[in-house]
Amino acid sequence: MFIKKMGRFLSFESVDLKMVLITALISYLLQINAIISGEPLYLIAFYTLIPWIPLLALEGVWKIQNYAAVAFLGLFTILQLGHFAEHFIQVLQIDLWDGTVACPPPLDNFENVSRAISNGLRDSQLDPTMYSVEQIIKPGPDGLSILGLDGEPLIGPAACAVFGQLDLEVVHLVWELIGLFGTAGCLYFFSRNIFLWIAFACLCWHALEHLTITYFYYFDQEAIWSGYRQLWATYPVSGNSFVAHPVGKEPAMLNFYEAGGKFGLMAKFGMFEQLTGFSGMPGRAQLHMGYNLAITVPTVLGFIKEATVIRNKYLEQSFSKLSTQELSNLSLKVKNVKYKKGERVFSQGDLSDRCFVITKGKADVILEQENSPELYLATLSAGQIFGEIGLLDDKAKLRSATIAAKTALECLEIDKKTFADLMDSETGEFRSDDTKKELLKLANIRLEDIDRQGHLGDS
Amino acid sequence: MKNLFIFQFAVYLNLYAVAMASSGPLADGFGAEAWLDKIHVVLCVVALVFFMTAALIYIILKRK
Repeated sequence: MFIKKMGRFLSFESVDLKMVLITALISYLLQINAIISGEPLYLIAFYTLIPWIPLLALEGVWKIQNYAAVAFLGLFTILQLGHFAEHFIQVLQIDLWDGTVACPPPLDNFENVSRAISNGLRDSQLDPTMYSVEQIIKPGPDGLSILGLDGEPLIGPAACAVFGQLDLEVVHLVWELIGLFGTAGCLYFFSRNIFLWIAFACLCWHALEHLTITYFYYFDQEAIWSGYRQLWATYPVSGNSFVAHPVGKEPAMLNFYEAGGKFGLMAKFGMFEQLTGFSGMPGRAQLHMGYNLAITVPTVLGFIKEATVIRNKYLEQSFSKLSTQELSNLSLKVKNVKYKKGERVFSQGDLSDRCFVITKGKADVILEQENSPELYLATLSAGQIFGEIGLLDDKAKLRSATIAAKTALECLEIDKKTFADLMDSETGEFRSDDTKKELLKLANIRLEDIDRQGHLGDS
Repeated sequence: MKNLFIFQFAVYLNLYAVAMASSGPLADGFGAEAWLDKIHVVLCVVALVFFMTAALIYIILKRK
């Protein structure tokens, strides 16, 4: 049941299958084009993801409208997982693939190209491209390349994850604060969720690190420490994939951040090690992956806890007497349907085989009379139910009025069997006497209204 | 494609200078003294996070 609920929640519910397929095709074509053009990994990933953004944004807004706070928590959890994946990939690049941490990665810019030409590493005819390098030859203490046992330079990826261009202190801080306030926002609705409290505590600790580091990065510019800056030369290796070659160091005066503040509070070479003399803390990349693991795992668990009772907001409004679990089960049984402005949902006299709950837009209730003009009865809006009268009355079986979309209309469709379960207080799945009473009361009011208006129309 | 390069160029102009900023070794002479000189910054950040956290917890629990 949980997998079914999650499957529904994670699938496209508001966007047509046709649009999803077109987007997938565009994404695929852009990806193939990027691969054939020899683009680096980050641009292949960029072109693959970019067509999906409008579709995901539309679906995200729809989910929040229909599932309320649980949808916000779900989207937030997906973003946290993506963020954690970036940290995890960076650690893999460092520890498994001999990557070099130079973030954001060096660019194929004028300076690096000039050095490559003067060192005989590059054809002078090739102009700078401004691409980020994908690979870096490891520099030694002298700033020149380290040779491996085979006499060849040691080479590995630029260890800045996939989107290394975004590996900036301000991006880390903004993401951290989005995480902190987003989790607080989720706790506002799910304050009994212990997992979210754990994630919140970890985010508060993580905020200490990033606020400190970012302060030094932007507001402490006094350069009083003598040090060196690594120099790079860049050249293409295949297509638009570039490598950075270390060509020495230049002396430079460094500010607090560059001299050591970049390691933050608890990482290797950070404040804790400096003040205590202890040596053995993990490097910054590994430590921050750990922070994100401590944030992401409870966030996922917190979402799973809430998702077990994920339910549609409009069903919750219309069937307020059902329990949370019953509403969650009912949410699985309904179908999303859309109607254009002016389109009829059903006509008077049609067979009654389903009822509807409006989630978006307005619908007119119209009474059709022989030899008389149509009689407008009412306008229904989001959260209201219609079509239940024919299902309540076994004898009626036919629609007693016409329903037409006054604006673009979106509804949840409840089939006859599910409705019967809702109304059967003894053996039905939902067994809610209160729901039955509520619906009967609503239907009686509607029928009286139709009768009264019908008589008025006759006279 | 051309517009993307222009965008990348504009962004990278601001980025290339910070390459290696979040990596590399400690500078000579940087150590405990350097951090103690800046301890007021760390304490301010701790106070800021403490009050921010307290305010958020208050808002969350108030609704409950």
